[in-house]
Amino acid sequence: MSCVLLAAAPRVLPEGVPGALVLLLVGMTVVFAVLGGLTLLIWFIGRVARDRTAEAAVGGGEAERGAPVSPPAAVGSAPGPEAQAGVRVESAGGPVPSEPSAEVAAAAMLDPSGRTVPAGGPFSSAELAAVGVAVEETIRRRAAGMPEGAGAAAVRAAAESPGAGVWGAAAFAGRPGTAMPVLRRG
Amino acid sequence: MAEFLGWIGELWGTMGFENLVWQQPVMWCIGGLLIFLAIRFEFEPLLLIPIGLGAIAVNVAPDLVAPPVGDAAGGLYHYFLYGIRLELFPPLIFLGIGALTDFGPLIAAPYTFLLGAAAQLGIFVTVVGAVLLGFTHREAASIGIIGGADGPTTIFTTAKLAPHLLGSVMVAAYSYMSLVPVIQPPIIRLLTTKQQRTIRMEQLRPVSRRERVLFAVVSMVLCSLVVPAAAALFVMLMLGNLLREALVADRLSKAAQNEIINIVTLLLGTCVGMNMHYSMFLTWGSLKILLLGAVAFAFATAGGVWFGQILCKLTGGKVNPMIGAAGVSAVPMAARVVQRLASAEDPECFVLMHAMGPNVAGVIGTAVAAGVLIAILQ
Repeated sequence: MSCVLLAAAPRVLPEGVPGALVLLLVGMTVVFAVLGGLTLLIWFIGRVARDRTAEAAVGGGEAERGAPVSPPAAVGSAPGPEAQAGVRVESAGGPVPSEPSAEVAAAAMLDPSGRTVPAGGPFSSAELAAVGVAVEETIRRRAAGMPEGAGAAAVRAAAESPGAGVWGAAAFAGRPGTAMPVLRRG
Repeated sequence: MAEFLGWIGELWGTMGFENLVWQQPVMWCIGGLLIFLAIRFEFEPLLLIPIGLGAIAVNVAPDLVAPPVGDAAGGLYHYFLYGIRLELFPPLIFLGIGALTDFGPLIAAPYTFLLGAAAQLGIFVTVVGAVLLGFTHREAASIGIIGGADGPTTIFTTAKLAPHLLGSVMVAAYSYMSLVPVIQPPIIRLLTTKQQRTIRMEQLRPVSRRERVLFAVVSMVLCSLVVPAAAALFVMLMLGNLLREALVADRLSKAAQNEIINIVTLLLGTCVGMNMHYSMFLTWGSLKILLLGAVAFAFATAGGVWFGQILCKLTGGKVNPMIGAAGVSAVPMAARVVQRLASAEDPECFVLMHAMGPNVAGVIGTAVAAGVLIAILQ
């Protein structure tokens, strides 16, 4: 439609304001048509991509490697520093699990303010990183004889901790020296 | 003695003092003001410093950008000719912008494309306003594009449609871009209620690499097909973005994000400054352009917020209408303004990434608008 409009636009515009109004009308229509077309295309691509990812997950495959975690400003939680800066954050190379483990799901039931939120979100990427590192640590300690249930408690504490975002961002940035207090205690 | 005095007289004649007119010191002051604003208040320093110095330089030695005579090297003429007049710089800047831009928020919420489209209202309303003030259609289009808040696109359009206005239009564009945090908040507050400003939006979904790559290719093809007049901008923008998202051309992506964009920004700013000769800049037209630039920014912001209101209604209050204001493509400043306003009303309301969607859509929208204007008027 926008092509037609551009083709149909008068080669010689009327003088003065009428010509400017033609520009306004044609211009806004073409801009909306192009960006509207892109909206539909991207929506369609997104839908197909998500369907494929879901199929891969159901089929036992892993989610696309390197799939980035969007840097969202989580509802009801503080955004990580990278989100504040508007910088894209990617997962640390591993897949983003579509089916969280029971422990992570339990932890995700609480956001930092203690309010109940749906499992799996909403989390800022930094908080997700905090939970991820807590899970990793849990697995390591369980192998070393950590008592049953203590891992879930640590993960839950990571999710509940008001400083989880900051701590997770530090871990995310490759500064594991800033060990999480809750795990040090554990 | 007489011979010596004659020689001194000749030497004096070769200096710039003899032809000095009052407008030149005025332009030095304007150049100095731009440098002061950049250093003191950090208003777009990467651009205003070279622009300011270029403005002073061309009003000290106008021959800097004059075509060379005979075998002379020609000062900085060739930078100016190839960079601005022949439009080498804007597509290169777009390459860097593409490599720096994360289109993820836009892909995650494609409807924000429409907010980026609505914010282009400022461009076209200003075209009407400029014609009312006596500018020709081509000049009006060059002035209107200021409302897109996109420097390279403004240069691209103005160099094609009204090159004699380049200096004034660029100064207006970059001045207002640096003033986005001042211009936008009152307009946003005027057009939204406190309740609307505190609307919390749902978290954006993760976007896969496949989607990002497809987005770059598909949008480049579609935009270039529909508006070939601005294809140079789309191609370079999406090439930069593809380098970034492909994750296999890290070296090129980093070069585009750093070295290329830095060098071109430096040369672009200097050349724009050198286009500010007093004979072209100290006119009533420049004052009108400054005024129209403010109109353009105001309507661009308003257009986005108005469309945000429509989306808010259509979604039953799930879209914070403020994010429409980020449709002006001052990335990421406009999105930050929206976040700051949201945080001021509700410290736990985070809409930054949602505002980044229309913000980057605005870059594409402005390029489309520029393409339309060029296609019709050139």
